Amino acid sequence: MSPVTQRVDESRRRLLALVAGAPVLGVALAACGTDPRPKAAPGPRAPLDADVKLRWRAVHSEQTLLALHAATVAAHPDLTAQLQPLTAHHDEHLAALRADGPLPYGAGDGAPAAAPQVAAEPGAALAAVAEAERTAADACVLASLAAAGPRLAAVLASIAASEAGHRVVLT
Amino acid sequence: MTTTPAPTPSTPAPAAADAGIEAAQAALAGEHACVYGYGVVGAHLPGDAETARDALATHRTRRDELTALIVAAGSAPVAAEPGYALPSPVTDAASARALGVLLEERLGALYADVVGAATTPELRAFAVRGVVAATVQAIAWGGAPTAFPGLDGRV
Repeated sequence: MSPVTQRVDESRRRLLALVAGAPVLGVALAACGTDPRPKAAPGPRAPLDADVKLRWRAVHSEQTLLALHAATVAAHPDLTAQLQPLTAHHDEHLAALRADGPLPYGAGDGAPAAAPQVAAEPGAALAAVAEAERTAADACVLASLAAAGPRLAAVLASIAASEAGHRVVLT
Repeated sequence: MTTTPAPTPSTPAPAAADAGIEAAQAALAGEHACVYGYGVVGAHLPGDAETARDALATHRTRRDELTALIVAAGSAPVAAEPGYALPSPVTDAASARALGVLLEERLGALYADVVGAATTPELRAFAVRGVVAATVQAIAWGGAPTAFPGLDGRV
């Protein structure tokens, strides 16, 4: 233990524990599992249906990014080591978004129609991925602001942060 | 009883009972701790002094903005502690960077709480920006990118 730690009394220690401690909503998020579905919701349906739409758009965005990652790695195998851990995050995003409820718009299962174009030069290809991550992050921020359900809002904000972080590690 | 008037929906709930403000207070306490922590980080990063100063300025600004949001909601904002215990000793540039990562990652989790609990668009927007900014700053200090920053282990 450092001298600093030893000098600090218990009341001061508590605040560090607050920064360090288990976040307040952790319990709520774990307990709720998902936000209320339209079928079971007591409130007005419109915002919840809008949440389904937001979730569907986010699913589509993840699929588009995954397709770009796959095409980039296919064109530039040397970029696999750099992109693979980030690709895995998008797989997790997609799984979480799908696990939060049904997507009744009949879509969200297929990959994007057009195969993404990949630049011939690896640096340019990587820059295109970084740019796509940034665009997706911005869209997730807006979706989080629009979401009615607290869990969806938090998940979308976290995905936005993850993708903003991807952009940083890729540039 | 049909004569009993229904509670008026526009009656504001007591500020203390607002989960969004409660979460915002926790985030404010986190910003206070970051302002303290970056003083320590900056002292051990002569090569990156400017980066640490910028981060400190950012946290001071957000602390003030968050304070204003809490005051506007009718609550008394939590004050800074006179000092904080460090989770581990900061003795060199590497341990200073590690503290920077830790501060930002934990702050990100506090802001993620606010995103879910916020009852006003202003607070929600502030918190979403907070999660993103903390994540980017954690990576800038050498933190590893993750799938769910702020929610790790909770999705």
